[in-house]
Amino acid sequence: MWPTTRCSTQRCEGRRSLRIALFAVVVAFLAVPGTDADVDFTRDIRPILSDQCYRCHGPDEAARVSGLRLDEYTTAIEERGGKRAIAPGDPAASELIVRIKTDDPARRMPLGGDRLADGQIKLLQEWISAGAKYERHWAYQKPERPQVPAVSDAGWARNPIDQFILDKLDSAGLRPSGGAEPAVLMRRLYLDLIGIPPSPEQIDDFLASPTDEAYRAAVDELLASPQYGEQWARHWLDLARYADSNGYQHDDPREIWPYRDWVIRAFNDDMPFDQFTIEQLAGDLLAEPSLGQLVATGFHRNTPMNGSGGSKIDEVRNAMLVDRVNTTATVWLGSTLACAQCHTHKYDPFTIEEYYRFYAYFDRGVDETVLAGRGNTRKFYVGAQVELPVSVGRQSQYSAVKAQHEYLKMVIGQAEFEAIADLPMWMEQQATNRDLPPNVISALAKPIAERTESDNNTIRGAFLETRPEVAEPKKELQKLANRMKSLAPPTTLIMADKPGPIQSFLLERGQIGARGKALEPGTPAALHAPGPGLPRNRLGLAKWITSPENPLTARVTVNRLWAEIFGRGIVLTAEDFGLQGGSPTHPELLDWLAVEFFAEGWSIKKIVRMIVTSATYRQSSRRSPELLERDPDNTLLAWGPRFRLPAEAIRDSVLAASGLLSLKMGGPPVHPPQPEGLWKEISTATDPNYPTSHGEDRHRRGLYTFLRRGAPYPSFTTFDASPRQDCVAMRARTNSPLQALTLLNDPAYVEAADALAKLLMDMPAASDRDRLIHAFRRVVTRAPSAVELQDLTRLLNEFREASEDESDAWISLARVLLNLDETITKS
Amino acid sequence: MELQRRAFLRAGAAGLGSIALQSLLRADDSAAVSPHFALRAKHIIFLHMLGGPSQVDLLDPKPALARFEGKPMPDSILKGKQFAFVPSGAGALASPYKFAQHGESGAWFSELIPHLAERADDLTVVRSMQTDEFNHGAGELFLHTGFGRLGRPTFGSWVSYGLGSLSDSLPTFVVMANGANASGNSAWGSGFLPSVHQGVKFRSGEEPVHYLANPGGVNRDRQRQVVDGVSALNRLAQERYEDPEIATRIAQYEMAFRLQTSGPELMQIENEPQHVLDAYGAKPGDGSYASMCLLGRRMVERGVRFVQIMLRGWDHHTGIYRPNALPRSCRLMDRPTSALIDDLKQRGLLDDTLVIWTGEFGRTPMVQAISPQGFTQDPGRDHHKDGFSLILAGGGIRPGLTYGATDDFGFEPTENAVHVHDLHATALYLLGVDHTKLTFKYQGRNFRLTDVHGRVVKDLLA
Repeated sequence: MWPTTRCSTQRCEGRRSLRIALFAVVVAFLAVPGTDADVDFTRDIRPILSDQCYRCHGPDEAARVSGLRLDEYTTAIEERGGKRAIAPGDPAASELIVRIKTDDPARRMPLGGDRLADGQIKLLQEWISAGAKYERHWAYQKPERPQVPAVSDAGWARNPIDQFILDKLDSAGLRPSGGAEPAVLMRRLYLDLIGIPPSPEQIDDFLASPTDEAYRAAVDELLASPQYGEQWARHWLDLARYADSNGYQHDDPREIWPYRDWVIRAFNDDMPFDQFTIEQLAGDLLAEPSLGQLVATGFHRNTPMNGSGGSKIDEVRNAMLVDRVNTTATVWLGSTLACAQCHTHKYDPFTIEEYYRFYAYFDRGVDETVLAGRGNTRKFYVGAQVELPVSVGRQSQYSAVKAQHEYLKMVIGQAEFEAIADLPMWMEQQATNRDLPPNVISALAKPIAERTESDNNTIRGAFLETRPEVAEPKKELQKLANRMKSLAPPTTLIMADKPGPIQSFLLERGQIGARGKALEPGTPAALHAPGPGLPRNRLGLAKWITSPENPLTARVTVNRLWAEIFGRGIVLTAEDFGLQGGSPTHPELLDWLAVEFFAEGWSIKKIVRMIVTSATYRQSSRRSPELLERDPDNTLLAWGPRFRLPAEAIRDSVLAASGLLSLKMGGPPVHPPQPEGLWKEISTATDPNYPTSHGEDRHRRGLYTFLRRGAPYPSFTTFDASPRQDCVAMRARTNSPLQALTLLNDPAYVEAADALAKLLMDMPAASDRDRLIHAFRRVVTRAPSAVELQDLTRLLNEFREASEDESDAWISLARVLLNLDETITKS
Repeated sequence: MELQRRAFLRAGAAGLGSIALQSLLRADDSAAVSPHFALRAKHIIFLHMLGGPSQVDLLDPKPALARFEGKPMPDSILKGKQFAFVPSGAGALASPYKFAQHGESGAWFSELIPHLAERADDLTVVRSMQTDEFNHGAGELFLHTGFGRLGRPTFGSWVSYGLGSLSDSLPTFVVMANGANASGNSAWGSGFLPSVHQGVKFRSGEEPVHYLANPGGVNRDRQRQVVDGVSALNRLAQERYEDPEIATRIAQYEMAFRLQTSGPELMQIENEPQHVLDAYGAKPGDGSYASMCLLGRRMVERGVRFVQIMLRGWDHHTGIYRPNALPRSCRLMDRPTSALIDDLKQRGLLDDTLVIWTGEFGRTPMVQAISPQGFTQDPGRDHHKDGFSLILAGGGIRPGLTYGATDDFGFEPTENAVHVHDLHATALYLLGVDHTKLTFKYQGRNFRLTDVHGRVVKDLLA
């Protein structure tokens, strides 16, 4: 942490931890006067019970104290020793109330904790008085399409989203903000849909006539743009923890980029989300799977793999399976199933047995690691893979080189065989040669009978090196091998199951040594039942997940789409829809969107289109001090989204503004310049040398940058990119001095400033003013205000005074522009 | 600005653990509130010997190993144990080094670390350390995050998150290393904590922090002009959007600009008197462990809260006794570490600074036989997680104590076992933090450095 980051860091930290409480405050504070609302179990009571009681009196049998269970009505009202924890209608007779109110610290609940607040006690009393009605946790009930509310200003609302938003604003006595100015709105739209800001030329027509129709046309055009898939893939790849290396010690590279390209294509094709899900989880189990369906299963081959020498195969495998279970639960169920790995979940209705039934779906997978040598040395990540077709030309080149390689190998073999006859003589001659490498000297020094196989190989190798008829073609052979490697068809890692039945087990306390009862694959009982006839394999799991009965997947997915666009989800905890997660700020809107998502054939583009064409989205992000005071986190959306861009989008934007960005799509990951030696900081790395890219590969979009888990591209890390070590649903957004240093001094940004300056100076017959306006628009899209233009002019002249070189002045000016808050922000 | 201040306090109350808030309030000159416990240490210098030093050759003498030399270890001891490479039936390997008692405390040190031995009464040796992981990547992660897999925040980042900064021009958590470590950046990463809490790696050479130096051809005046220009325009944006993030960004640019001076100034050990350089054995710009120790002292002096120094060269699977193996690593480590203790003590900083010296695990008491000739030729030792030794000093630790003991072979603790979780809990306690209360909610769970484990080892406290 840094001292002057207080505001920002607290904001970020707050986002995850206590914003739920904050929302409760907002709700209470905004409650409509006079409607002394009834106590609501979901809103008022369960959070108290969950936080204060369930740890010892919840679903986890092992942790349960005195056999008392408060998370279920029937058990909570049972008579026990003449008392009832909850006596519906009679708080005074309810032991729960007695025990939270008592002054005796030895008896007061929660034991050892602080006394509940008076307000909480009052709520519990009122709830019991009213009959202690329990409700199922909202997220585990199938969403029904709610009525779209009538609102105060039907003219403002452009679609149902707006009616839900305005309804809450109405209740709070707030008004939405006016529309964002057209250029700012266009920038927002471009950044959200394709992740790159527009050039001035791209939006001039719209600015000339910023009608609703023109706006909608721009939306459709961007949704159809190939860059749309790249923008939305980036987010999905965080969930999929896609990376180009194994992680851990060695951190070996892996080839799985075709999976990344598959995701981009799937978003561009608007593949229905159910199909998108099934292909990634179980494409290999479909009947006659297509190549794409196999490639898609790379989703779960993205798990990190601990290939360290000495690591135990079964532990490595277990860690990968656990990661697959937890990732699946986070991505599609918004559930923290991970908590049930060692014990039954403390809050949510998942038992440890159910955890390992879920685990059993993945337990049938084929082995994925292989020892690199004898003994327990390092491991390679292998398993099933598939070869990608290449162009006919490349295939025939490859075949030709391969044939040459094989032929030459044979020739060398023959030459070696003939040469070897001279080996005994050579050994005699060299017995006293001190100029040989030390290992050869020591091997030769041993009596023949004592030489090991490795000694003999050493000697043989050294001898053959002295024979030109062997050594020369060997050099050629190496060249051919390199060429073969570069021409070889790319491969990608895919999932595959072992044939035949596999027995899985519960692992007590999560320990692989502690096998408990035998288990079959299955899904948690608290969620919807699997349909009849679903196979008990990953395909059955995928179909269970995409069942219309599933209460979670559609909600969790639309919530993440919402969060990408508005900066925070309708449920703040995008990764946790359980009892300890956040309550939705707009529950009806969330359900409406979820049902719509089903109804519209799981089309992500349709949901995204609906969001970005809403009036809510099109609001100005300027906020008044009054609004900031009343709803500082914009939970009610009285103003438009404004937040810092993700790491990759910052670099992409700056490259675009300076005219450097390459829009080349797909293919192997690239290596833009980075500080020297970073890969050497991973010990025992196979590839310590970073192969810096040349040509346009230096300026490709950020999602194509090689992601080495042990040493990710440093400026991305600084801007909160995930090192993809596990599934990440929401990145943090920090604000730090290292970010300032990166934008000020990172050669990549300096290069962009140079390019931008050159581009400005090359503008024919332009005044300073023209150039400054154009530069500002290239970088932040809108035109500068009069005051801003004044400042820019003053700065340009100051830079000129400080240096006689005109291009220096423009470079400095470009650096200023590339460092602005607005440059790295969606406003 | 008043509004922002209020927004900040609100967010603060909601977002940080209570202690974090209190330290912020203190920094804001509001009423100081006491942390969880009386604060004993303000800084930690964490000296990580990468690879795992051999406790039976340095700190935990085991004469019994000589009696068993070459013979298989008793089955009762090896049963159920996990090793990376040791095959079953591996024989005991005695230490060839002489051990002696030192200081008034009578603590045992081997002849490989004579300088540390001289400071016996300033140091505390724990001989009963345990960890859960026995290979390097996972072991490093466990030592720094309390968890053997990727994704959790490191100790330093928890401290940054919980206690905040003491400096207005240097980062809170700094990392230095003389080479690569197995888990890469993850050994100082912030896991699920915001990335501002990750360790900032300082490297030797011209640019100690990435992108710290101005671009070529840009002098300090020009950089100042650029930063001023950025801030001027950002202030206009602030008026336009009323977004408190913009004010923060303006402040971060100032901080970055200060760091461009304070960072290089910090690294200029050539400004230290010659006798100080000599005491450490440091040469300006050599990137050695000696220089890193001296820099560690300079950082603590300037308000860096958590300094993590990593020294490679302790992973002796074979040839452990070759002059360029364990003896050399000890030579590189012994004097600078001792000089650091002395220097901190002389400057009155040792009371405020907890120094931790440890590997991610120790090494086996038996030989790791690789060649058929076995240990008689160039023996080595494998990774050992069940019993190893570490050294503590300063920061409220009881000096001169030797704590915990292992069995006759140095295999497992026979008394007062101290787990890595306990080390974390105890170190946090010395910083005034209750390890059970420093939490961060992520994916539905309140996480902490010590997971659901850890206890404060009160016996170690002064």
